[in-house]
Amino acid sequence: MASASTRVKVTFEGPYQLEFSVTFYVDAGIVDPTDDGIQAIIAAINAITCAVAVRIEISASAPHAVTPTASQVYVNEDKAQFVFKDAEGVPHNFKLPAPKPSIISDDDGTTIAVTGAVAAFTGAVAANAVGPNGSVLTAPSIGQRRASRKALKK
Amino acid sequence: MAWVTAPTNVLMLHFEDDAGKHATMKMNVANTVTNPGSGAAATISSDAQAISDSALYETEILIVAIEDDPGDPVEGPYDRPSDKVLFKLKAQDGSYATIQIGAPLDTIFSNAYDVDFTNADVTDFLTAMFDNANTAGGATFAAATEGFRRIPPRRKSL
Repeated sequence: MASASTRVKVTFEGPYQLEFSVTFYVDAGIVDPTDDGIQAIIAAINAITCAVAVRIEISASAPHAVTPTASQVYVNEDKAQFVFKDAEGVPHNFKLPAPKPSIISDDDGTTIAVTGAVAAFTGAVAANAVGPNGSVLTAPSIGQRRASRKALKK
Repeated sequence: MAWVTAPTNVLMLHFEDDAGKHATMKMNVANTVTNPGSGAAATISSDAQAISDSALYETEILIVAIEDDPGDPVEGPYDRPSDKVLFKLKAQDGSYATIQIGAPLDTIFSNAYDVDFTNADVTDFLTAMFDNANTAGGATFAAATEGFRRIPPRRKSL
């Protein structure tokens, strides 16, 4: 279920290259930056400010009514890291927070086999995600658990 | 002047663990992926939740566009971002929202402080907001109740 509204953040640049942003909401489902309503608001703001609009960022969100697992073994600082490569061989890291213990190898507590539900996730990412320049990604054959915790100060 | 959309959109998965800490996983998706509740975004979200103990409480898609020829800003007595005009808007459901715009033109004020609600550019702005904008909860706006210039911090006078 999508949220009630779509958030639009417009960045303006004034003289002296100083920037500020203006945020407003439009009807949910409006996701085109060139939408007539969004452009009408931007044009009207341009007419009352010294600055000019330079960037539009539209945020569409869908909330989920879920709760975390109680007393979870791995928390958000722990990640399941998967390295995807694009067609040019450039690696792209994806880190999933709080991996379930069941997907991590009992042998070393680190290796994550890309099977079952893990393979479903990496397959979905490879099929639907791309590199920043739009390049196609290839799913990895293995993942790793990474702990990102601050060292205790002595 | 034209708005050029980025070649990819950004898909963000927001997680919360049982200690209340938040983490976000980001990836790029094709700019045809715009609905966070269905299609590719929903598939990735569902499969990610299946292997994480944290709660994936929100799926978000960011769509970015850049103006390739924005024109030139103008100078004025209130031309810095710290100088702002604030409008307070009342929604149809009785709630209020504010919108602040930096570097306001001095022509929209009747004095150094108050917005001139008879100014044509001000009325055009409010009309655009009433016709096209909502509150975060989805209610449309009905009226502007206040408009004034905010004094920048550390400045002693208007």
